[in-house]
Amino acid sequence: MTIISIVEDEPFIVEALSYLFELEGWAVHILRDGADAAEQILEQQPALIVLDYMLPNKSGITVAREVRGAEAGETIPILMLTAKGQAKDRQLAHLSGVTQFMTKPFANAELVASVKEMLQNANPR
Amino acid sequence: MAQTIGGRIREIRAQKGLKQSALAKLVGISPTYLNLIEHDKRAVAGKLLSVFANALETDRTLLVRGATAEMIEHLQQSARQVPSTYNAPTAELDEIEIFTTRFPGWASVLSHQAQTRKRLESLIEILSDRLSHDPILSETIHIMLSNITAIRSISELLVMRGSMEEAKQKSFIQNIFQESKRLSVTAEKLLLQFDPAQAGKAEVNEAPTQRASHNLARPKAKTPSDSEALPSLNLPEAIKNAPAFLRAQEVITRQALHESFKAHHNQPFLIADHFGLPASLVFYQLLSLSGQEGLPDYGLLAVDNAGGVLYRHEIGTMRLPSRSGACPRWPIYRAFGATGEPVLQRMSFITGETYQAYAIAQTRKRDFAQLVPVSQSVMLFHEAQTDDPTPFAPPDVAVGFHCSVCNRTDCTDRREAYALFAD
Repeated sequence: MTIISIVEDEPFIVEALSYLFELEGWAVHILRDGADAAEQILEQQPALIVLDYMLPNKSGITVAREVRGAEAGETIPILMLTAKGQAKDRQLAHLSGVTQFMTKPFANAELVASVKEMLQNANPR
Repeated sequence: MAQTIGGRIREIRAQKGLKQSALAKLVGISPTYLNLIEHDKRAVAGKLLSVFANALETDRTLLVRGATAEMIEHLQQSARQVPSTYNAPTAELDEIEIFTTRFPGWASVLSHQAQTRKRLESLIEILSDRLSHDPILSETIHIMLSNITAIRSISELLVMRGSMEEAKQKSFIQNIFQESKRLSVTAEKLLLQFDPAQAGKAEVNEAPTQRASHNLARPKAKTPSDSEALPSLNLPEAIKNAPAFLRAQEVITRQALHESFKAHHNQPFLIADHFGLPASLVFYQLLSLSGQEGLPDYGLLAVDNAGGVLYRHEIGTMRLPSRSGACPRWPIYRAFGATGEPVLQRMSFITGETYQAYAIAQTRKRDFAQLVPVSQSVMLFHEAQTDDPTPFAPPDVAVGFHCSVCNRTDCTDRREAYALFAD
């Protein structure tokens, strides 16, 4: 089963995304704090990471860098969700290894389409 | 003075003692045609108007009745601002004088509108700048967008619920209720930022510092002579006219500052000691050389002992408060705890950025009648490099911008709840 890690501190967003992803047949792995997120992601080895920019105790940018810094995290697609949509934020995200950037608020269909596309690109048949 | 172009041509020709035939020859038209122009039976504009201006040795715009050069410039600017798309209107720029002559009232209205537009664009730029540079404002909006995201996402699920269990539906509806309440609270906080009474007070406080910050011209890229004095900064009058600051400007030359910078490993307190000057003044001098000849990009913040911002200059992603206090862990505030003592600190933000900061507080004046010392603290900072050659190892302190937008939930210095989690 495809596992998606959701790293997000906003509980209602987590609940909505979990439901949405489970409808698509994906399993979710939820993390609400940036502190040890990278460590847990690397242990879980999800097919994709949905990562919030602003997290308690460690930013999404740092988490992305830590994931990319480990051999086991080099190729996991990272979709960053953020309310920070300025050019410099996007640039920083890409420099930190983020695969795709999506600004809040987003449409559920748009998010699912992006996740599917990223999964497809990561594992082309 | 005549009221039409033709009349003015006739008037100036007469002043110069030229006959119609002579001017017609100079301009290259027949005397009959000139006569028609002078009696406003024929319009004159474009190249011919320039030829008339040359022949009469006068300014082209002076020939245009009711249209000052400024008005024509405004109209030209306004016309150029129309995007050049397929269906975009095109102004006949080469006939602008005819337009302003024939329809001075309309020209005046258009010119006025062009100026109004320019003023409003400038205002939007200022507000946009405030939005992106005010950490509280931008982070409050960030929180609101998170609230909105949750509501939108859950609503979409409910609308397309299909076979959603009743318990799940109830849970989602409850979530929307909770999230919309939080959104209301955040929106109210945001509105306080725009409250007319508060905003009015803020402008009084903000104006001088903001002006100074905006006017702080980055020194032009050029090769300066070594003995050249440092570029002057557009600082608040209180700083600029302080005797010590004026003395510092005489003592510190570009060459001397560079030599001291190298010798003292970019350590502003040692540089100040080298020159025998107050450290805060050296901070301003280093700021004037920011980013030049191997020096880092410097930012600077000056506050009074009530936390009020006196001067601010931002760099990189380091956002500074516009009016009031920021994070109590910043060295600029810690410096008030030991006036006159240097404070060195690495400021580590949760977003991963680290800044090397130097701060010092000084008693600026003492009111002996009230026994109240008035202090100021100044902080110079730059992005920290892992290979900084400094022989010092300042403490690395986890900081934020402001408690209400800081998600360091383990911070023991918190004075206000993080807005996202506030009930």
